[in-house]
Amino acid sequence: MIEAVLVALLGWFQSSSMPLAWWLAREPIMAGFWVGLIYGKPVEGIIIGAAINVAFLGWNSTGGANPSDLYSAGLLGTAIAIQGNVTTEQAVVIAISLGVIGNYAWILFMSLNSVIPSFQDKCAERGDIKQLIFLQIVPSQLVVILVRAIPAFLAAYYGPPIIESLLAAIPVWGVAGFNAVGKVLPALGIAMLLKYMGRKDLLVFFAVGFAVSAFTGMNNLLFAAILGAAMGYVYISLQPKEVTAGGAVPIQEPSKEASLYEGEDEI
Amino acid sequence: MMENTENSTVGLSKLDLELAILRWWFFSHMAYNYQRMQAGGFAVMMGPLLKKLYPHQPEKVVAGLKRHMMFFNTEPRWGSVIHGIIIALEEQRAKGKDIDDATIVDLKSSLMGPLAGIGDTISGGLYKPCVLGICLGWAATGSIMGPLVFAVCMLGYDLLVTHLAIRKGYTLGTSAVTSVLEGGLFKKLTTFFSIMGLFVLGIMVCKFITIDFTWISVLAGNKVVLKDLMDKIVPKTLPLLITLVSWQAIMRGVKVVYVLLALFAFALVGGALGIIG
Repeated sequence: MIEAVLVALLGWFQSSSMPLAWWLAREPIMAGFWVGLIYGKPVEGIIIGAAINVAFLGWNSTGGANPSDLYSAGLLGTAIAIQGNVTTEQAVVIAISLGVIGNYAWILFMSLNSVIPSFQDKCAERGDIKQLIFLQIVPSQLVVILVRAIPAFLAAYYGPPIIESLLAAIPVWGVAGFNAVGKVLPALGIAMLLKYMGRKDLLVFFAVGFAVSAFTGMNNLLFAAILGAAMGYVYISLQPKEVTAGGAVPIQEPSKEASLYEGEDEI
Repeated sequence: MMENTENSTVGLSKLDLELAILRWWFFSHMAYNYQRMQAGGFAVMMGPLLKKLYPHQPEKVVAGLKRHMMFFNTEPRWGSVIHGIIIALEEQRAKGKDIDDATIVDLKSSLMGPLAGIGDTISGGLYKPCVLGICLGWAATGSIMGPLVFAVCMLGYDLLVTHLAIRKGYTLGTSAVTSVLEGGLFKKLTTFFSIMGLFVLGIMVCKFITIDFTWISVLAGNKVVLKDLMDKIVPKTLPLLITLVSWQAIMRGVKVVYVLLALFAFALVGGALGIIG
């Protein structure tokens, strides 16, 4: 009960839409840690959170549209997985499914908030700055409590037994299929990221990374980042200087990007 | 703009600017919505500044607030160069310079797209995944370093970039944007992060996608283990193939949800039949 209340509080904080919440609680890697702490299993929480986060690697909420809900996937996924004694792969599958449902909470949040500017307009009309700031900060939090905290409480409190009995009812071959899904889904996160990063002329570096890891089994990511940074530095140093001289080339780049993702809220 | 001459002494102090930065940083998205996106956040940031700029002209404060309640949406960190520029313009205007409403509104709406493009690319597409890539490696082993380093790197980046962007925009005024767009720095930065990110991503395919062939067939009394066979050609073929196919599907405009469902179905069937696992 207390744990479920704490999960609900975390659900409110992570969705309160400010940088502290984004970076301390929103991403599954963070949410997993906090949920783990709440249930006294921080290490498991971190591991499950990390696994879920991989599937959301390319998560980017462009112009307020989400592909899937990062918030509930990390928070509720870990909460249910930790209580329900499921494997990490199964946790990922549960989390992704929750993300698809949880997206409605985001849409609801954005829609209900759409009333606020109309009231802020009236404050502007009166020149009432204090009221305008109040409207910016407080009403949206009530919306968050309604669409995030309360569902989080219900899921953390009633979810695990339901999931557990569901899993118990699935035959062996079904569990095998379920586990395979958990192992495959991280590909989606990486694929989405490839869409953002995958400049044609630089794709060879992806191939190099894959080949190095596949053939040598090297998978230390910090080491990889250092190697990657070195390669990036060398590549830029070898570029002809003319890029910096003319204005035409650099200007094209951002405007092309802008048409891809026009206006974004947060990452 | 003769009526403004009485304001020629008003100006914004360093503290005013700092407080404005903090207001934007904390409150920009709290009432994020489909109708006006970040407009409320922008107005909240500008409100107290307008009050300071027009101490005895409430009607100008009202006009200013209305001006900044217009639809606005950009990437909140790099995009805040706009905020700096607008603050500088509003200050000059209060001091009597001939800057009209249209200039301010047009500047805001014309810059928010390109700067969102820059910001999204660097923050969402490059910086965060790079940090995440490293931190997920730690977190996957249950190390506290994962969440800890992630929080520090992202919070620090967010605060620092927002801060510098507003300050830079403020000092450079309108010329700021051209220096950002034309300096060649942007292209260098994205190239650097792309290379680093893509390389790490290649390794992540092997580290995080743990699916492999489990199919074993008996041919002429000999067991043929498909996985061993594939490993002799290229190890980790299956993770790579799945990634590339999903990526191409997304590139061709297939909705992410459909790719998700397809992967779901593929793995569920493959796993149930014992071919993959």
